Amino acid sequence: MSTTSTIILNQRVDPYVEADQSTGRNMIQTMGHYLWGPMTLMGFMLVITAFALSVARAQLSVDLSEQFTAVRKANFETIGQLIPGFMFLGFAFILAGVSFAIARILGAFRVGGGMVQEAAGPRIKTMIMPTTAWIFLGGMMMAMMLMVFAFFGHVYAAVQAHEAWINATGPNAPDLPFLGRADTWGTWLEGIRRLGIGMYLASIAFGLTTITKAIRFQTLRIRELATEQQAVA
Amino acid sequence: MTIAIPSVIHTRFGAARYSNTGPSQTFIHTIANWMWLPMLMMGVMAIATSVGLGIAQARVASDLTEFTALRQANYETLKPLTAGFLFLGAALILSGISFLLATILGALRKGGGEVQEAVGARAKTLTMPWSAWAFLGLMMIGLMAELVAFGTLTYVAVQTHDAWISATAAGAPGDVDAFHRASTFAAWANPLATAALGALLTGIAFALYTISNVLGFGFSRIRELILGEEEGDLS
Repeated sequence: MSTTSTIILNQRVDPYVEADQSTGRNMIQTMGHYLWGPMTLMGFMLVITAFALSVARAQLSVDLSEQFTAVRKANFETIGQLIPGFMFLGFAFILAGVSFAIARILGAFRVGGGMVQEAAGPRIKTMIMPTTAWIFLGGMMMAMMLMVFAFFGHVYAAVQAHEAWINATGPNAPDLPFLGRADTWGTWLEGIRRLGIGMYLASIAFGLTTITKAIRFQTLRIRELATEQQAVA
Repeated sequence: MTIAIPSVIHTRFGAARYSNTGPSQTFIHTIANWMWLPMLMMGVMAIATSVGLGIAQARVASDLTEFTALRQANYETLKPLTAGFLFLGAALILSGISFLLATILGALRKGGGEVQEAVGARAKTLTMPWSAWAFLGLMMIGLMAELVAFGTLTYVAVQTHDAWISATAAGAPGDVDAFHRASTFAAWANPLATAALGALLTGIAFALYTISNVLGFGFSRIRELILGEEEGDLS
């Protein structure tokens, strides 16, 4: 007794283009190919810079416990605003590196899939950039802009903190308008930083969804190629 | 005439090795297969602990409307502990994700070898690339730095408790030396904890790069098998 099974091959969810030649990486994937490394390394260096600033701030804390001077206090508060600025700009660059590495994986699927189809048959089918990839890109760019804005905001807050303390006559006598501005900026920039990180992580999720789409497309295409080969034989 | 194929060749994707049988998973892949879930679970538990400490801190804060040294000491002690557990949890979750990426690399290695074996070809496998070593190193550095930061924040908590337990009024710690020690250590321990997360994320970027390289190699090998021709040694 034999059983018959039917496989539906052409119910593709994702649109594709058909060509005689393999398509190379698109512009975004090419950027990902070259930029993942520099972005990641710059991010890591910024994070290290932030940690080095925190060590300097710890030393200032020791100095301040020995004797209060306006310069020490001003430096202590200024660095306190710069640390989160550098740290989160570093995170933004590292997450951009992660996003570009995901784009690089998508590029490997596109180029590799085309290469295998070129070797196996006459027609090459390539998935058109899906909506999830556009959301991934857009989210990543918006998140990066937010994080860069937060960095400059922290630089502004650092300047205000410095002005608040540089002429102080005692540990409880800052220039209040400057201190208020520094605190206000520092408080709402924390929200902006977290929003930026959240947007980055959400766009990375869309990047991973795009990878699953590419894998599904290629699985279907391999089945299709196998059927075509059987029909030829 | 037969052409001798060298055991190690250099490809566009890095050094590769030929073998008659498909490669098994490396020691690191095996560790990753076992460790990803415990790491994630421990991370979630550490974050849950941090949430619990946060709730306790909120409760003590509401009691602090009426000052006692004990309440103030408990309130100040819970601050660094909450941060310590939160960062430790995040680091453990990122380590779990790193181990998961290593399991993907292990699956690509083993699966690639099995496919090559099945079609009767010699198994060609990438040797462990530099990016995989960087991934491992950064992950270990990140996790160790996070443990150091957690230990330091625990020390800060102890010092803070000592500073406030003998206080006579709000805003005036009883032991000023302990208070300054706690401030100094906290000034670098919190950024260290955040920098450790940065190292773990950098490691994840390297892991993703390695995956893209291995995929490129895999496609290139499938093409070689379809066309029946081997790519030459690039060295």
